[in-house]
Amino acid sequence: MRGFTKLIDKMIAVQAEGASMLMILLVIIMCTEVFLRYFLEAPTIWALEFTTFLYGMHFILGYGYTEQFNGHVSVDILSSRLSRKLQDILYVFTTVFISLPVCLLLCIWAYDNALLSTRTLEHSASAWGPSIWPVKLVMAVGFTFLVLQISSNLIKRILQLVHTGDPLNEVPHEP
Amino acid sequence: GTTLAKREKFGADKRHEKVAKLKVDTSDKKHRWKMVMPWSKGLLFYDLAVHFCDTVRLASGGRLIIKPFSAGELIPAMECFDAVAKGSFEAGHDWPGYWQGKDQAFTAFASVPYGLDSELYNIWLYEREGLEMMQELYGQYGLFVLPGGQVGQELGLASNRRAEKIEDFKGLKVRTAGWYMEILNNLGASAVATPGGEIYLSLQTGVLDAAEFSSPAVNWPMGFDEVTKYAIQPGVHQPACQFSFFFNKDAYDKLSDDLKWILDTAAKETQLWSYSWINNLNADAIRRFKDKIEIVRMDDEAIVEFAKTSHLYLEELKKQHAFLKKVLDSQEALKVDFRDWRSSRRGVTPWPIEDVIAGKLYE
Amino acid sequence: MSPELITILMFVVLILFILSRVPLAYALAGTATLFGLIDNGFNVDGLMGMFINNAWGTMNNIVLVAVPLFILMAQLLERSKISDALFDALYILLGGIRGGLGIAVVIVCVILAATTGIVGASVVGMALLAGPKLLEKGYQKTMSAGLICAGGTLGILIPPSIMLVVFGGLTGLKETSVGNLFAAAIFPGLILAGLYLLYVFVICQIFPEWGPGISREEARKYSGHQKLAMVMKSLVPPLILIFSVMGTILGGIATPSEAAAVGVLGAAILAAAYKNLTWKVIRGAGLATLKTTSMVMILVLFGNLFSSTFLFIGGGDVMTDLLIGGDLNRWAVMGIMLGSIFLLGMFIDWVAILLVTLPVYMPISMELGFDPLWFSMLICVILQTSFLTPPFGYSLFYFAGAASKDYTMPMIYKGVMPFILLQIIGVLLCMCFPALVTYLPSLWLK
Ligand code: NA
Ligand code: NA
Repeated sequence: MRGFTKLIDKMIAVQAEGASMLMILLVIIMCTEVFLRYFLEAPTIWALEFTTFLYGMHFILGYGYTEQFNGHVSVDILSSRLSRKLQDILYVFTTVFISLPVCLLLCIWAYDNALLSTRTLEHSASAWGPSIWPVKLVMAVGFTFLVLQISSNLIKRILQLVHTGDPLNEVPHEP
Repeated sequence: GTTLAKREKFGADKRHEKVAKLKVDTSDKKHRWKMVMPWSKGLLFYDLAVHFCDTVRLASGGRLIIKPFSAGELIPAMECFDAVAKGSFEAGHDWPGYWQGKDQAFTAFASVPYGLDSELYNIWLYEREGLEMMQELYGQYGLFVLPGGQVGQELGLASNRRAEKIEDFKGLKVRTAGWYMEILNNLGASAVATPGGEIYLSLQTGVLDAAEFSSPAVNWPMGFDEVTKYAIQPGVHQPACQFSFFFNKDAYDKLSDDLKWILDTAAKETQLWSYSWINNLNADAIRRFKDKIEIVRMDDEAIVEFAKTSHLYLEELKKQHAFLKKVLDSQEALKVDFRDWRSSRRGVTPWPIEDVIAGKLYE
Repeated sequence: MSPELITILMFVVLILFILSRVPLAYALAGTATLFGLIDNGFNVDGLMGMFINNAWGTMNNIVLVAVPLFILMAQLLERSKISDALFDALYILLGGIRGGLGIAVVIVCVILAATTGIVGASVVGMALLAGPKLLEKGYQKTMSAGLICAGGTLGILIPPSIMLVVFGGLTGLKETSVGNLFAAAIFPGLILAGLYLLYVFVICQIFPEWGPGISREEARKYSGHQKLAMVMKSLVPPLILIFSVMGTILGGIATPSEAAAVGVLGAAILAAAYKNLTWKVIRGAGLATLKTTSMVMILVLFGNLFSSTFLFIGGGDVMTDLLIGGDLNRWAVMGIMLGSIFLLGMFIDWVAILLVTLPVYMPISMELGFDPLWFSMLICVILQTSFLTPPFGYSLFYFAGAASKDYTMPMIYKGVMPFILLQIIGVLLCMCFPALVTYLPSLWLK
């Protein structure tokens, strides 16, 4: 089980390195487009749409990564007054019945959506008209990473409840 | 010897034969539908959708209530087609060209550069194979479709650079979308893709020289005249603007016969009303534009150049998209068949009478 | 179930989830799923189809591209340490006055606010930079904490700002375009900064022990000429950044989204000039940007699912009937709307608040004949306040995370109270004098 969570955490961390570079690429493309349009009067027909794809893929691939640090905003008003053990039980309970099923449903239907798009080889409606099914597939992959990371965090928390060990300490430090 | 052919009544309402003996099943069942669309509430197109929903509710005596939702309320603007196809909602309103990425042919049902005008769209859709082809296209996605309003010709470019001759369009940074982007680029202009919300500011600061959006009445609230000097006419990209209502096939099939007739009739009523409504507003809007900006006409040579470039572009597209070819050829055939009637009826354009007496005869 | 009952239940369940410490995003989506399914007769395919369409639409909403760009810019900025030189120079210039160091904090915060679009960087930066100096010089802890939290929060109001970008993207109105919102936010932002300045100055005159001036020897170390030169020099980098964002917009070089990218480029060039643009910095900034962006964007996306479902089940009509149908005075309706946003701001994140309230409140305000830009700006100032209002206030958390452990949470809560009061005064000023909001945009629109 711990091997499984380690594997997932590692995989998400590695894909995040790649995803974070999408924003660098986006900056380069946007600035080049500004230069081409303003100084050379020769804008491209693809830059806006391409940057849109980069922007969307960037944050959707970050969902799992942020979850790794428990970085999605939560409000700790009441629960912090509970004992550590009760907090863990509450976490396991809400994750199993709320967070995980919701993200799993989204993930399944994201694949459903991506498959439909792939099957019909969907293109965008613009003049450039690139294939958009790869981006829809990335959306499904982004939700998959999120589901995997929630599962990993859940397993770690269960292990912590059951064992005396403290696998939560294995959460990597943020950069 | 020769006998004179017997002259019969020239035409007949073909529908009458089909429906004369039709039994219409009615039902007391009540339906509550949701309609999604790409329009925000500020756009006049939203009113088209609302008008249709009103008619359906009243004509059905409340048995079919369709609630319209503007863009972003339930789903983002460009997702309404997929959402209705999927069955998340029962009905949608659109400008078919938005779905060009699914099939280039959709745009042919919306507006084509130098394509059909409103009159010919009506003839093509209702009296020729137009609606049938449209049904075939939408049917592939599990949708039933009806023509859903038209607003006629659009305004040309809102521009800060005066452009009359074809050379003037060289390097002109124009915001537009779809086919027209490539056509403008082929003419030497610089087509720029700009999100709708950033057009105004981009015109104001000079990121853009010009922008194309919609018909005068629809453009008026956008206020582009506040940040541009000219309207470059005519709107060669879009001699008409045709909309459609589309329905999830499963939901549509569950309707009783009379409700289906009501949908059909209400869509036709919307088609009639929208044209009259918007063009009456257009007449007012263009007068207001004239007070604020200069209306510039591109010269005939430029218009011909635009036509040639558009034609070449569409011929290329037709080679790659079989169904688009079928649809555009069918539309072109109507233009050809209509040629003699169009030319013989010329000369009685309804200009004000003193203009006609002064010799202004043609459109 | 009646729409009224469902609407109320939806909020009750949402609050229950939030109190159970379910991350806000999952709480929003979870509530949406539950009630969406109850309302549509458990048509999972239909509801999830709507959700995925919303997700795809959010991925395509390029207006929000400024969100990651502003975050990346702030990340690079933090690593190139331009605020350090500025603060040091102002500290030497103003340190001699009672409360002078506090005034320097506000000025640096305003300049940082004009260069970045988010809150985190300024609060964390000032907590690290000014926090120890304020402690060392004997500034009262509660006031220092409140001042840094409030000052750092100006970044989300004074343009550029991701909040204004998201707001403009959500309304889609010409009046509340991102450009107009940027212009409208300038005076309110400066007025708030002015109120903070005034407060610090006055309170330190009344209670000199709250903010003593620095010693005479220290103040005399530099000549007036030298002091001025230091300030001017330290102002260059932020001015470059302000130009690269606002200048490219006003100069017709770039759209607001593109200007954010140009700003990143500017920040990168500055970092390079300070010899800080290493691979380690780029990688670190990239990962931190990914994390913060996802944190905001999961709320945008999942919050969208909540607001769509809320409107789907007819909650919008229920709220509208309640607010307009009750024959209430229009100012009372306005008070209820703004008050509810203030209350929500104590518990929920600003993005979620915008997504839940805007689709209902914006049409109501227009029906009641309120100027949309003015109304929007009142909301924005209140949302900015939400960063400060306990118990859940981002700025307070950022500060607590970055500042020395001498500052306790109750101390921070207490310290921020006077500034919340100043925020409310700011809102009232904008309410009573709409020109404060509308004047600049009207120049802008000729
Ligand atoms: Na800012
Ligand atoms: Na708060």
